[in-house]
Amino acid sequence: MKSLRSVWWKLRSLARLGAVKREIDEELRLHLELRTLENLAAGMSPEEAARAARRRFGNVQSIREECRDVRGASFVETMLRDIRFGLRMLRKNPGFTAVAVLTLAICIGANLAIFAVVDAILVRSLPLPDASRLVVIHNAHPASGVERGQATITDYFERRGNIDALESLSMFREETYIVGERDAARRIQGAEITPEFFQTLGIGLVKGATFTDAELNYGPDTVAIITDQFWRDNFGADSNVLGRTFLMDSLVIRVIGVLPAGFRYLSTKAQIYRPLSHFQETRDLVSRYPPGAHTPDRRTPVTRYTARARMHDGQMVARLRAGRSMAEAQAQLNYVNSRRLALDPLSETLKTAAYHPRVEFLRTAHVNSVKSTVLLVQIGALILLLLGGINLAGLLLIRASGRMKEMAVRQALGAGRGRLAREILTETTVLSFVGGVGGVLLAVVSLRVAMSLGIDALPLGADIVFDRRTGLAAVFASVMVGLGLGLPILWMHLHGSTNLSLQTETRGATTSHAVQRLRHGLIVTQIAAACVLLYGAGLLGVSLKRTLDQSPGFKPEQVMTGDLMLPWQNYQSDGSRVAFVFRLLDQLRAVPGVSHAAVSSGLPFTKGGSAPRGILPEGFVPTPGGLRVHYVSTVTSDYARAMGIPLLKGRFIEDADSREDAPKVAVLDEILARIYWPNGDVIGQRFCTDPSVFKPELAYTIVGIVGSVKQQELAETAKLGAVYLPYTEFGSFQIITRLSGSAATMGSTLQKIVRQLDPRLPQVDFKPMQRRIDDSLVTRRSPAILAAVFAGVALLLAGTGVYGVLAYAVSQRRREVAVRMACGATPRLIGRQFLTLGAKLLVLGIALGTFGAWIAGRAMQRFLVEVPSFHISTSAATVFVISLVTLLAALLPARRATQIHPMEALRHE
Amino acid sequence: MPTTKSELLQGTLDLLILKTLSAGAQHGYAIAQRIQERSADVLVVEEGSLYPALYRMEEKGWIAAEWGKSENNRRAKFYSLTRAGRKQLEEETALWERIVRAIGLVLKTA
Repeated sequence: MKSLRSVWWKLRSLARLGAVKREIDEELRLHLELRTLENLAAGMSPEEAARAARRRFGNVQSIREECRDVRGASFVETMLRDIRFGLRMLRKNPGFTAVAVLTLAICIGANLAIFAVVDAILVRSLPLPDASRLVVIHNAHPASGVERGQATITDYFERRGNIDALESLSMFREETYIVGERDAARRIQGAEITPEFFQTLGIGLVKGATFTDAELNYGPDTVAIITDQFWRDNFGADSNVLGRTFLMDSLVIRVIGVLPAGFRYLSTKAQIYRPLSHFQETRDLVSRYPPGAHTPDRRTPVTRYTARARMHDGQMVARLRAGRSMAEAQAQLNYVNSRRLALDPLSETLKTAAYHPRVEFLRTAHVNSVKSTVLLVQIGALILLLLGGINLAGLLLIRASGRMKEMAVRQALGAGRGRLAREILTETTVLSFVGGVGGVLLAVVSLRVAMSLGIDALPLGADIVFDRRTGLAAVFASVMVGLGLGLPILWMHLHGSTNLSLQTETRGATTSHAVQRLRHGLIVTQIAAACVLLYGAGLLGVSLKRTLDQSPGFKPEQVMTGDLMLPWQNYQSDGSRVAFVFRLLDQLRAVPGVSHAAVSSGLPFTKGGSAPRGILPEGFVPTPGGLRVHYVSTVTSDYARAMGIPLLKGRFIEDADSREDAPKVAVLDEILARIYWPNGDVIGQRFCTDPSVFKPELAYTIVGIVGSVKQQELAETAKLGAVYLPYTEFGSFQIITRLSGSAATMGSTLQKIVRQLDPRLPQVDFKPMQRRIDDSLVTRRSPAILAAVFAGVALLLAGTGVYGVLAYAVSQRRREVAVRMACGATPRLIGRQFLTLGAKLLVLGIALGTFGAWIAGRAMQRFLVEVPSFHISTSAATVFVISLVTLLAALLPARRATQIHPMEALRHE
Repeated sequence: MPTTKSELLQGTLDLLILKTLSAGAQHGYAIAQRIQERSADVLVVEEGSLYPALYRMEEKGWIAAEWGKSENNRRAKFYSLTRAGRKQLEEETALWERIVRAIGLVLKTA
C-alpha cells in the first residue's frame, strides 16, 4: 500500500515536472533568506550573513538534487537525457543507422500492413451494432458436396416467427440492376431483401420505413430503399426524396426509405434494396400442394412454383435473442426442418443427402474462405521480423563490443546494473522507434497500393484501414523489438568478466567465448529462418504453378466474354428475349475476326450464376448420398465450339432446339454420364430437372456428351458435373465470342454491335475469358507473391548477417592472422579457415532450417495443390540457394583475410 | 550561535519534526528553529537533511503541505500533521520511550 502511494506521488510529480522543481527552489531559497535575516539580526554584515547561512545549509546543489530525487522529478530527466544521448549516437553513425532503420522499417512495416488486414478481417467486430449475435443459416447437404448452401424463400416463411431462439430472421440476395436509360444507363449493384432485414442488422433507416409484407408480391414491389450515397448521387440529397421515383430495369421505382451514411452490409456494393418479391403461392407451397397439383385458378401448374421454391439463392441472416445460445437455435431449426421433411415429397432424397440447416456466426461464415490464407501470411511476416531483428541484434552486438571497456570501467566505478540497463535499453528502443516510424509510413503506403490493386475484393476488405489499433500495435512492436535488441547487449556487458575487459590491451573489444557463441548462434538462427521462408515460398510457388497448369477443360485463349441483362420491362415475353439473343448472335458472327459466337446463362468462372440444381434421370432411384447437384445452364448452339469444349459423343445443342415447339433435348458432360449411366448408353436417356418426380412430358432427352470443365477454380476437386439445355428465355446471360485474331481491340467493336441492337441497354463490359480465370486465382497468387518477396528479403538479411559476422571476426583477428602469416601460413590457408567457419554456420543453419521447413510444410498442407509437404526439388533448391548466398557472403571477408599484410597489421595496433 | 553538532539519526529527525508540527502548522525554517530552541541548542538540525525528510514524510502521507505567507511576506510552504501522522507520532514516541527506558536499565546496573 505504501509503495503504491509513493508511485502515485511520483507520477503526480512527473505531471508537474517544472512546477515541482520551482517549488523546491523556492522553499530552499526562503530558508536561506530567513537564515540570512537571523544572522543580520545577530549583527553580521550582509555578505557575512549570507555566507554563513549558505555554509550552514550545506551544498545547495546536491541538496536540491536530493530533493528532486525524492519528489521523483529526476526520473523523467534522466530518461530524457538517455533518449537524447541515444539519438546522438544514431546520428554519429549514419551508415549503420540507415541500415538498421531500413531493416526495421521493412520488417515492422510488413507486419503492420498484414496486421491491419488481420485486424479488419478477423479481429475487429463487424461494423453493425451487437454484431456478435448475428448468425447465418445455411442449408447444408454435405453428402452431395454442398457444405454451405443458400436458403429459399420458402425456408424464410417456414422459419420466420417459429424459431424462438432467434429474435429476427431475414433474407438477402444480391442483384444487378440497370438504372437510368439510354446513354445514361448504368449497372448498379443492388440487393433483394425481406422486410425485417435492416432490423435484424440493427440498422435504423434515416428516412422512411421498411417494406411491408404486401410489397413482397410482384406488382406492389416497385419500391426501393436506397443508400446514402445513391441518395446523394441521384437525388442531390433532396430531403423530400420519399415518393420520388427513378428508372430501373425500365421500371418506375419509388423511393420509400434512405439508409444511414456509411452503412454497408459486409462486403456488398449494393446501393438499392428491393423487396425479395415472389409468387404468393411459394410461401407455404410444400405443405399445401402435393406434386402434380394445380393452384386453385387451375391455370399454372404448381411445378412452376416448386422450381422457385427450391431455388436456393438467398442468404439467411438472423439475430440470436439475447441470452440464447447457438445450440438452442440449431436445435429449434432442426425441429422445424424435420417437420417440413415429413411433408416434403422430396424428403427421402433430402434425407439421403443429409440435408440439414446449419447455424453459424455471421463473421465466421463470411471470412471463412480467406482466414487461413491471411494467417499464413501473418506468420510469414513475423518470421521475417524475427530475421530482421536477429540481423540487427548481431550488428548491435558487434558495435557494442567496441564499448566493452568503457562499460567495464563504469561498472568498476560503481555504476549500477539498473543504470546500465536503462541506458542500453533506451538506446535500442530509440533506434527501434525510429525504425517503427519508418515502418508505419511503409505500411500506410503499401496498404494504399494494395487498395488500388483491388484488395477490397477480400471479404470485409474494404474495411482495411490504418487506424488507432494498428498504431498502438506499431508502438508496442517497436518497444518490444527495442527491448529484445537490447537484451543480448545487456547480457554481454553484465556477463563478461570486467577483469578480463580491463586487462586486455586493445582499445576495442574482447572476444569472450560466450559472446562469440551468441553471435554465431544468432547467425545460425538467421540461416534457419531464411530456409523456412524460402521453402514456404517455394512450396507456394510450385502449388501456384501446378494450379495454373491445370486445364480448365476448355480453351480460354482468344475468347472474349461479356455479361448482359435484358430489362424485364422491355422484354416481357420469352419470345422477345429469344429473338433478341438470336439477332445478336447473327450480328456478332458477321463481324470479321469472330469465328464463333454463343450465349450461356452460367459461364464458368463467373460469379452470380444460378446455384447448382439436382436432376432426376428416368428410372433413377436415389441411393444414400444419391441427391447430387449439378451446374445447369442454358446455351446456344455455338457454345461448345466457342469455348473450345470437346464434343465426345453425339451432337451439341442446335439453334432449332430453342424453338418453342422443339423436342426437349440436353447435353451432359462426361462426369454426369459416368455418375448416372456408368455402364450403358447415355445418348437417348431422359431426365427431368425437377428432382421430385419424373414426368415424361417434361423430360429432356440426352443427345450428346461433352468434356467436363472447371467451374469455379482451376484447382477445384469437387466434380459436380454440368448440364447444358437449349437457350430458352433467360434474360441474364453471358456472351461468348471466339476470335480468330487478337482479342485486344475487339471489345469496342462488340460493344457497338450490342448498342446498335438496343440503345437502351447499358454498355457491356467485354473482357477476355482468361481474365475471369486469373481473377479466380487471386487467393492463391497473392500469398505466393508475398512469400516470394519475404523470401527475397530474408535471403538479403541472412546474407548481410553472415557477411557482418565474418567481416567482424576477420577484423578482430587481424593480429593473430598477421602473426601466423609472418610465421609462414599461406594466405590460402587463412582464407580457407574463415570460409570453413562460414560453412560450419551454414551447415548448422540448414540442419535447424530443415526441421523448421518440415513443420512449415505440414502446416501449409491445406494451401497446396498436389504438392506433398516434403517436396524434394523445393528442398534441394532451398538448400542450394541458401548455401550459395551464405558462401558468397563469406567469400568477401575471407578474401579480405588473405590480403592482410603481416607487417602493416602488426604495426597498426 | 554556538552549535554542537550532534549526529541525528534520520528516524529521530522524523520524530522530532512530527512532534514539532503537533503544535501547529509551520514552514521548514521554523521547524528547524523550533527543534533547536526546544532542545536548548543541543540538537541542531542538519539543514541538508531537513527538506528531503519533509518531502519523504509528505510522500508517506504523515504530513500535508499548503502554500501560505511567511513572516517576511514571502510565499512559503506550511506543513501540518495529518491523522496518519498523528498516529505515527504516537507510535514512534512510544517506541522511543521504550528504547530509552531499556538503555537506562542497562546503564543503572553496576
